[in-house]
Amino acid sequence: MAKGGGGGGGITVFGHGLEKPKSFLDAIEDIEQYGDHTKTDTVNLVRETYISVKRQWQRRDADISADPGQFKLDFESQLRKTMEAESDNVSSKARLEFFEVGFKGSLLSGLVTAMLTPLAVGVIEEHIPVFGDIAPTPFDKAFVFMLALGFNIGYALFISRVAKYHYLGVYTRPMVRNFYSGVLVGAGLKAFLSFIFFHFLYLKILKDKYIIQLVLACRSFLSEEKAIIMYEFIRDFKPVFLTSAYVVLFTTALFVAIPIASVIMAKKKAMTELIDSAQIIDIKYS
Amino acid sequence: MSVADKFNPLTHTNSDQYLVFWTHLFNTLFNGFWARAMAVTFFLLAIWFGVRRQHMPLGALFLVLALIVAYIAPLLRFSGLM
Repeated sequence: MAKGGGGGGGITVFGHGLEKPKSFLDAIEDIEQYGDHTKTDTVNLVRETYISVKRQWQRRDADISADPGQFKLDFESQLRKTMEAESDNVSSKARLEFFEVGFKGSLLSGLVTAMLTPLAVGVIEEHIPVFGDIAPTPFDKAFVFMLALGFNIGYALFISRVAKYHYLGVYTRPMVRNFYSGVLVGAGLKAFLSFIFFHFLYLKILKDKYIIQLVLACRSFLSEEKAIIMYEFIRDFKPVFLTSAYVVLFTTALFVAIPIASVIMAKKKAMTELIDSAQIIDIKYS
Repeated sequence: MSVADKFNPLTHTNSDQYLVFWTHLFNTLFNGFWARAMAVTFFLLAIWFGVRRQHMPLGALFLVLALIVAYIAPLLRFSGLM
């Protein structure tokens, strides 16, 4: 568990002497704890930015009620700059650690999903029996895809939770961004490696002559009938790897889209809560 | 009869009937309704422990069990156990 924290104003320096998050659960726990401890800092920052922008408008003799849209834009622009400046308190070391954890978790979980995808596609194309039947029912098709993708989708939903609630925190923002950057890079690398690997399997490894060599090597403990079944199965299953290569690209896009969509949808609600907490009346998010 | 013989199933039945028992058990468990029911249960347990309770090793274990139940039938059939 990470040490350190702050609240109630003042600058708190993170990233020095902290325990490195070992897993994505540790990283999410750290982000949630910092988010809770520093919520007051974020609200104070929002309020100070609002007062600063309001004073700028008053010095220009501009009327906020006449152009609330422009005031809101000025406020958001100033808030973004102020948050970027404040988030420099999160050290580069801490940022890299969150990136690393996101990268490793995403890459490993993604590779597991990528290896299960040919099984799911094999069931759909009726090469692999599931639950003992070669002809899968609609339930069977849905279930095998849930088995292949469930872990990854669950992971995406889990990490989207922390992005949703802590993306706008003044100190948690760089943590979330770096963690999520690691997740994105890991997912991209996984998609690339899987795509190359499945094409390599189809084009180079599973050539007929190598399949025959493998079957002949197994001939010592397989009957002739079973050896033929094995050869025909591998030969007919080959194209499934090509389909799987593209399915993995699609599922990676889905995996990446879930947290992004979550942040976009929650940003307005999170901003509304911050505005309400800072008791700002001139800006409305509906 | 020694202690070891008491644990040996071939002491209590013949090998053909023993094989029939396992074949019947695999056919019941890994075909049709019971296979689907077990696989769904293991999958839901994987989500419960992996996502809700955040106990990743247990979640992964149940996911592996769901995979085994879903895909083991052709392997058992190939090896003559179903």
